Amino acid sequence: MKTLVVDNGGYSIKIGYADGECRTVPNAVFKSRTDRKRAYISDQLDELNERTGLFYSLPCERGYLVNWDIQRQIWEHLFTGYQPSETRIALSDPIYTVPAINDYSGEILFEDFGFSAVHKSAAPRWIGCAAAAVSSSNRLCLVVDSGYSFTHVVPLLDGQILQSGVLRIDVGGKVLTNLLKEWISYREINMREETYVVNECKEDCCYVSIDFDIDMKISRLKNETNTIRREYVLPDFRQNMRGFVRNPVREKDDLQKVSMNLERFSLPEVLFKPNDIGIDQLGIGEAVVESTKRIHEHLAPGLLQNIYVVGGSSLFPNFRQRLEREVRSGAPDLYGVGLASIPNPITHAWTSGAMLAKSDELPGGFMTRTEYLECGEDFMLEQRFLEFNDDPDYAEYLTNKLTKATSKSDDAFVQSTN
Amino acid sequence: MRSATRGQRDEKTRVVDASVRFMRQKRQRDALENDNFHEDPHANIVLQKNVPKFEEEDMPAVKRRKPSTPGAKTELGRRKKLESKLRFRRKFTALHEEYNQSKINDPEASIKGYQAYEEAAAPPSTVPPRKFCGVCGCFGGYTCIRCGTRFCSIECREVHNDTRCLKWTC
Repeated sequence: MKTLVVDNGGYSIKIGYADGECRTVPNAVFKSRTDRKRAYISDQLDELNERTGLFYSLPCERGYLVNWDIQRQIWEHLFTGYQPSETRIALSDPIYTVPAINDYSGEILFEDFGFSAVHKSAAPRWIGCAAAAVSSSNRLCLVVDSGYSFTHVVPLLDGQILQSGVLRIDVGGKVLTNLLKEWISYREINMREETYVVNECKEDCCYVSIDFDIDMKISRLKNETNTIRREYVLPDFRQNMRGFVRNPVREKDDLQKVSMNLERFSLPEVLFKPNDIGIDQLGIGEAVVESTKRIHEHLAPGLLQNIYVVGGSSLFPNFRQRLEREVRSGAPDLYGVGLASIPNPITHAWTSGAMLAKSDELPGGFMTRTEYLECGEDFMLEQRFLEFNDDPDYAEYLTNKLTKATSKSDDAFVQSTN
Repeated sequence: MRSATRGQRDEKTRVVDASVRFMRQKRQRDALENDNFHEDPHANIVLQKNVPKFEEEDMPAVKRRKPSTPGAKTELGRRKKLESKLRFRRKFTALHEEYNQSKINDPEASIKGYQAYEEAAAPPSTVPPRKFCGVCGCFGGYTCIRCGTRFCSIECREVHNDTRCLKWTC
C-alpha cells in the first residue's frame, strides 16, 4: 500500500508519494480581476499569465486551518491523480491543537475522499523523528521553523516535543510581505493590491543584515558609494513574467521600477527584532536561547549543537549566519552552537515525513478506517494531547528518557571541554 | 461678531493620547495579518439579473425586522442555517477569544491544554525597541508631538505632517 505524504503549510502544500517526488504548490485559491469567469485553484495559477491584483483565498489563518471549504476544494483538485481508497495519507498539522478550532480533517479525509488510513502529526515531529532515526547523535534537536504564518522554536527529544520549550513568534512571511507592501505603497507607488508581485520582490531583493548599523550607514550614502541600493523592475506580464533586480541606472527608460534601499535588509530584520514594528516578542535568536533555558539544563548543550533551520522565510541570504551569531552571543560560552545543513528548507519536513513513511516509523502510526468508524475523531484528539499533557505517566516516561539523554550529553560535554 | 476661537486652536494643537496611540499601533499590527487589501473581485458578479439573491436573508444583523416580531420559529431556522454556514468559515481570533471567554466562565471544563497557544507565545524582549522614522525608515531621532510617530529630519517631518499625521487611514 502506498503512502501519500502531505505537508499542509499556510502558503504552500508539499505533496507526493513517499517513494516519489515532492511537488510544492500554493495552498490557495486565486481570483484575478482580468478573468472573471473562473477561480484558479492551487497549481492552476500556472495557466494565468496576468498576475496583477490577485485575490488570495487562503484556508489557513495564523497557521491554523479555519476555512475548510477552501481547503477541501484544493485537496479535491490535488488528490485527483492519486487513488485514495488504496492509499494511506500522512498529513502534517499544527504543533498545538487549539480546542477552539474544530478539526474536520479526519471527517473530510475518511468520508469525503475515502482514504484507507490517516496519520497526523506536527511537521517538526517528523523532522525530529527522522533526525533521530538517521543517527543516535541526533536524539536531541531544535527545530526553528520560520514559515508563512509564524515562526516556531521547537525542542525535541527522540522525536517527542518538549512542551515547555516551544515558543511561537508571530512573524512570518505573510507579515513581511504585508509590511513591504505598506512601505512601497507609502514611499513610492501604490502596490497594496499586488501581494503576489511584492512577495516575489521580497524573495528576490531582501537579505538579512549581519551588521545592521553599518548597513544603515551605507544605505544613507549617495550614488555609487551606496552598495545596497538596487532597482526592482516590476513585471509587465508581457515580456517578463517575473520582476528582476538590477543596479540603479542613470538613463531613463520606460520600465516601471521600485527603488529598494534600506528596505532590503530592514524587512527581514523584523524576524530578529519583532519589537521594532511593535510586536512585543523575542526575536528568533533570543527565542532559541530562551527555549533552551526553559527545559532541563542538561539538554541545552545537545539542543544547541543540533539546530534545524527550516521554512521558507529562512531562505533569505545570511539568515543562518545571523541566527548562529545571535545564538552564539546569547548562549553560555561552554556550549557549542551548530546548525545542521539542510538541502531544501521548504521541503525538509516533507522529506523527513517521506523517509519515516517508507520505513513505517511515523510517530503514533496510522489510524485506520475501521478505527475511525468505531471511535471517531475524538480518538485522534486524545492521542494528540497525550504528547504533552501533564499526567504522571508521561512525566515518568520523560524522566526516564532524560536520564538516558543526560548521560549522553554529559559525554559530549566532556569531549568538547577536553 | 466675535466668535469663540478656543475650539479652532484646540483642533490645531490637538495631541493624541496614549490609549489612542496604542489603538492605532494595534490596528497597524492587525493589518499585517490581512490576506488581501482589496475586495473579492468575484463577489458581486451577477450572471443573470432574474436570479433572486438569497444571501441578504442569511445575514446575521437584520435591522429591518423588529425584535418583538412573533416569528420565533423562523428566527430559529435562520440561526440554524447560519450556524451550518459558520461551521466551516470563521475567523481564527474570533473563535479563539470566544473559546477563552467560555473558559473563564466555566473553570472546571475538561479539555486539557487549551491555554497552550497562549503559553507558547514568545515573551517580550529584554532589549528595548529601536526607533525608526515613519517616513523613510532611517533611525528616527525625533517624535511628532501630536501623534507620536518618529521622524528623522525636517523633510520627513513635513512629509509626515502633510500625509499621515492625525489622518491615519490604514
